[in-house]
This record gives sequence, structure tokens and C-alpha cells, in this order.
Amino acid sequence: MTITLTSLDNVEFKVDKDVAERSILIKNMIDDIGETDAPIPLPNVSSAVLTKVIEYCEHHRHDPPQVQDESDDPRKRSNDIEEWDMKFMQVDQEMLFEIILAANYLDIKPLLDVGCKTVANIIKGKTPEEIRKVFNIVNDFTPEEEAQIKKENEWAEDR
Amino acid sequence: MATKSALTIPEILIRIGTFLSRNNLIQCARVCSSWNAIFHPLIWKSVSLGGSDWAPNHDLIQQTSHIRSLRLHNKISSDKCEYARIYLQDQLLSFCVEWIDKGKRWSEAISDLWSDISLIVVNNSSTLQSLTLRERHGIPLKNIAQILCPGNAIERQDQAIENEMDNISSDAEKCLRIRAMPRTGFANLRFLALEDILIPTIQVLESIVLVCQQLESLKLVRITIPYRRMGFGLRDLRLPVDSVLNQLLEPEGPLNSRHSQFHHQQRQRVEYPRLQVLDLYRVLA
Repeated sequence: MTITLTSLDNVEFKVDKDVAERSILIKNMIDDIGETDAPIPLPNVSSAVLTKVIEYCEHHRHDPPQVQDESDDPRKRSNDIEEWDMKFMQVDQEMLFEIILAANYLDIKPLLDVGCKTVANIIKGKTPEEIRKVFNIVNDFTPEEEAQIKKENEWAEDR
Repeated sequence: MATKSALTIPEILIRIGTFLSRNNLIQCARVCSSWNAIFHPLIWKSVSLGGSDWAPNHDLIQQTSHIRSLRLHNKISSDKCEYARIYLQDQLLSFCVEWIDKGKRWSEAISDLWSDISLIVVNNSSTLQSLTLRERHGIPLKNIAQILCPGNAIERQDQAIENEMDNISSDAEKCLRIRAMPRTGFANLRFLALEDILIPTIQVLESIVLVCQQLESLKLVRITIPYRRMGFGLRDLRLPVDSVLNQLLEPEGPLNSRHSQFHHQQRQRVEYPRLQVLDLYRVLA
């Protein structure tokens, strides 16, 4: 059975049910309203982004459902992105963040994680100034505040 | 702008934060005030206490509400421990005590800290999900029993295990003894690791299993216990194939040369209070 999804810019996408249901949002919707031919509107996702998201869901359609993380390690690793996902994420920053937002909205946890890992890898090893530059963030600290924050976290650093 | 909006959503920033090391989190907290609000608590989520260059306690105390994971290691002094004992009530999820000082034995160097450590564990026994005790020169069994099962009853029980092991012959008697043990409230403990235990005898091994059995934890999914110095492992005890315990003892992968890790999946959940430890005795007798 196929599901029709409609993007923000009114483009219709026909996808298999199991592909569409990688999105927990869509899965819950289908569970709630029952199987229907009516298109499901996704007013937060543009067709360009939805194309990418569907590509991801099709590649991962047979993945087992995500199990709850039982790991005792509070820090997760960001260097375990599989090769296909790595290539999939080789997009410009704008698209990367669009995908993250879509994954968040559509509730596709594995895709959200891959996106967040990719951002984490960009952040790694950068100074605050470098991070601001990469993501175009304005520094709203006064020099005094900056010094204070530096000091209060100084000894938390892993040496 | 997508860039802007994605990086202003707290839950996305927090998720990104879970993939960053503490040093990276510190850099993130310095980027701007909204990032600071998100990343500051993440920096203090897991704290490592040890060495000699730590800040005074009052700095730590200001951050205690963020601490979910605490690691104590090498050269801890009792006053550094105290803040955790007082302020970390019912919020610690992971606690690790690691003693790697080559010069001193655990029992001598850390004996004055045991009451602090066991109080931290007990204070947080309802939330604790992971407990690791690791030491190069051996953790005295008695202290482990005290930590997991505080109170005089357990101390006596602990003695009984060591002294009367040879005297108790009937399964019924052993069964009675196990039932008489008090329960502690580690309702959320999922991971227990005891590494390098002093006096590596089979009695010690059995005591550990007994201590584990007393945990009122239905969620325990993995136990790590010593292997290296035993000269034998639990697997060498030739447990009956059909015993529940044997399922539990299936190693996850190839045996680690230093210690074996045993765990069982949630789906074949073994409830600890009902663990068939008696099989172990039967084999030994």
C-alpha cells in the first residue's frame, strides 16, 4: 500500500507505507485515522527536503526499530556514522539543518541522530569564535561575562 | 533561515550535546548566552572527582543540581566526597569508584572514604542505574556487601557466607538463608560492575552472586565480575545447561582476557530475587 505525502510547496510524493512509517509522526497518524487514500499534508517540509528524507527512509526501510539506549556511558559517540549516511549528509549547511528540522518534526530518530552527529563533528575541536563563525552566531556576552564563564568551567575540563 | 532555527531549538542542541566531549561542551557554552543556557547543565551532568587540582567544594556545590553521573578516582579526599554525600540525594544515575593508585592498597588508602561512598550509593539508591567499583589491588568483599546491602544484617550475612560456607549442606537451609536477606531499593540498577576483587576465592564469587540476588532490581541487565585472578571463571563451574543462571552467564562476545562480562537481554529477563543461585551450590558440593 502506498501513502501520499504533500510537501509545503504542494508537491505530492507517493511512498510505500513501510517507508512512510519510518516517521513516527506519520505512523501515528495512520494508526489514528486508519488507512486512507487522502494525501497527508506536511506543511513544515519543502519538497527538496522531503525528497532527501524519503531517500533516507527508503534506504533504511528494513532497519529494525530503534531500541532504547541501555548504555551506561552518558556520552555517545559521533564517529560511528555508517558510510551511506555519511555520504547522504554531504550537503550544504542549510540543507543539513533543514533535514534535522524535518527529522525532528517527522519524528525520525535515527535520521535526527545522524544529523546531530554531523553537526557535532563540525563543532569538535573548534574554539567558541570558530563555532560562531561557522554557524553565523552573534556573541552576546560582555567581556566580563565571557571571562566569568571561562573561569567557572575551567576546572571541569578533561585533561 | 533553517540554520538559525535548528540551532535555537533546545532539544536539538541537547541532542547534539550528547555527541560531544566535555571539552567541546565547554567551548559551546562560551558561544552565546542561549547556547550557554543549554550546554552549561550538560557540562556538569557528569563529573569526575580525583587528582589534586580540583576546585574547592563550594564551586561544586553550586553545580550539584546538574550532576547525574559521578566518577571518583585516585587520591580522593573525604572532604571532596562530602558534597556528593550531602547534595546528590536521589539524582545520581551513574556512580563509578575507581582507585588506581599503585602504591597503596584499597583497604588502607580508602577505608576512611567507605562510609562516604556507601552513603552516596544509599542516598541515590532509588535513581542509580549504573554502579562500577574498580580497583587495581582488590576491593574487599565486605565493603561491597556494605555498599549494596547496608546495615548490620548484611554484615552478619557476609560473615556467614565466608565462615559457614562449608558447614551448610542442605539446599533447603541455603534457600532459607537467601530468603532471610534484607532487600535494598536499587529499583533502577541496570549495570553493576565489580572489578578486581580481593581474595579471589570461590566463596567470594558466590557472595557476589548472593549480593546481586538481594538487589531488588528487576532491571539489572548486566553484571561484570572479576575473571582475571580467579584462575577460573563462572563458566568453568559447569552449570546445568538448563539453569536460569547459565542463561545469565552467556558472555556477550569473545571472552575478554581481563574479565568476562555477563549479561542477559531484557526479553529473557531474569528477575534477580528469583535467580536460581542454588544451582551454583549444587555444582560446588
